[in-house]
Amino acid sequence: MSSHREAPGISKDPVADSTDLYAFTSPDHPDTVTLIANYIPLEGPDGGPNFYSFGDDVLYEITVTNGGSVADAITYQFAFTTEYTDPNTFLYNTGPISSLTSASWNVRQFYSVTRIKGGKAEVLATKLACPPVNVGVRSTPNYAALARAAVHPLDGGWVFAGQRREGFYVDLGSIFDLGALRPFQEAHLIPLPAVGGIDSTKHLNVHTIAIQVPKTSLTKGGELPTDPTSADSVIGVYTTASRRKSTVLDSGGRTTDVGPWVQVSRLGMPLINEVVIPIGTKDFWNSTEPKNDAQFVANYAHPELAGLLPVLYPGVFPNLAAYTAARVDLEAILLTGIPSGIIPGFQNSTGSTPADLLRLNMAIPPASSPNLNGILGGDLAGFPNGRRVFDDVATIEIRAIAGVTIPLVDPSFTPDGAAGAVSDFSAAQFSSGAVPGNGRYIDHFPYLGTPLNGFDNPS
Amino acid sequence: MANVTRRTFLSTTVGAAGGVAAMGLIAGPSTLVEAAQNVADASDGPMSSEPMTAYVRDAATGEIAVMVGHREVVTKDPHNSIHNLTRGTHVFAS
Repeated sequence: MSSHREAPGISKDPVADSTDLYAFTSPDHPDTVTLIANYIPLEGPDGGPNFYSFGDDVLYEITVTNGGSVADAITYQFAFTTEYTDPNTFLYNTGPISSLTSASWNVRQFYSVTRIKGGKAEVLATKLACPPVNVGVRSTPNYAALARAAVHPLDGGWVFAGQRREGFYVDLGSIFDLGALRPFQEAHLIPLPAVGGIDSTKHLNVHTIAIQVPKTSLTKGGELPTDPTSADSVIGVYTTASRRKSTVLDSGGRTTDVGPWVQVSRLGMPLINEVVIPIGTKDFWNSTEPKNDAQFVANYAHPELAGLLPVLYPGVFPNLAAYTAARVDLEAILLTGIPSGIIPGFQNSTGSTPADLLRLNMAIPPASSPNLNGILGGDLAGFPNGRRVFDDVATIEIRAIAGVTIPLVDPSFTPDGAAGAVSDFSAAQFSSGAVPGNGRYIDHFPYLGTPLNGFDNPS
Repeated sequence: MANVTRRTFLSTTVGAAGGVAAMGLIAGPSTLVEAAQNVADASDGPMSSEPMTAYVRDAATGEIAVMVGHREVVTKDPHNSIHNLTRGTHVFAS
């Protein structure tokens, strides 16, 4: 979760494995949108001596649709290269890394950014420096300064690529042990006493590609979106990773990549390929384009998890168990966007073509008091209106699948009482601030917190 | 780069390999050597300067994908090269 190791093929290829995608109006620069694509799941801070890095042989992309459409409008491409200061040492660094030009930093990564828009490819920047990973107190004593130096101006906005702290929180060990939610597991088919959830990703990092873009660069006509009811205010976002079609493992440790790029990973809405798409289709799903997602609609109309919940929690979801109609609510939220007339003052529709896109209505201003449950919590600036780094997408989607959103399209349905309460963490864990926890986020670009250092973590 | 979309960038940075593959390339190069030459001709550098991969995607139909740089040409082999190749594989296996 939300897309960590979600498919058989990509689970064996971490550097190309998209884990989370975020798109939101920048709270400190509300005339811009921040797009974040995370890669490399479950990244241990102490993963030396060859610490985590982007793949030099992977093409990373963030694609935006606009004008209320699912057609690709703008694609940002990121291509990385790694350089060694001294190839004759095994060390990542030979002394403290005090700056991005520090001679003691041995393994450096740089990247270029290309934008495809209006049928033209334009190189926006080359040789942009990534920061080092957060090795530890001796090697990277002032990591925040290194990260700040790696925030580069780009086309009226900013760009960053490098290690950050994992922002997504979930109880992996419980949810994948027969769908258990620890705070509610006394009602599970195989019951255990209820306890708080375990935050599986709390001590992990991730590799982040983040761009902050003026909204006027994303709208179809270049205007600043101010009308939430306008299709021109809505963008759709997805990220992909691609590899060359042919790789030859040659003698002498050489690897040769040849041929056109082939898409091996994609991500729009969280948890889709994770829990909506069946395992035999996941790798195929990763290779396809969102605009062709009509072929997967049946998986949304009758999601497997909605059928499992009444079985795993006997007697808890009787209304959900009795509901046999297609889940039009999920199709709207996840595949076409929420049309006007459902939620007062809001829509993020991209038309009738089903497509897995993270949809953002850019005319909705940032919330002064954000709610982790986004629109379900009455906060129109949160998921599924785009996704902020702290949004509790696991809870939101579990509750949606459990039926809380069915009345949006079928007022005759009454959600089960548990549907609006289930979560993999307890209410006390949220109210105390234990989840998501301190240090996970910062209030400015790139918004994900300083990565945990490898000396102190895991502790 | 004229008329670039994300998908065309990925699949056909130069040339029309994807479209050719979809059409089965019946009217395309008739030998592996010709296919390789076509790919090389379309590349930026001389043929000998870049690695080339020939991928027999379906030995039964004789379909071969030849890749160099970011380019790919799919062809059919009318001269039994694949048959000879698979016989060679059989020899290796035994």
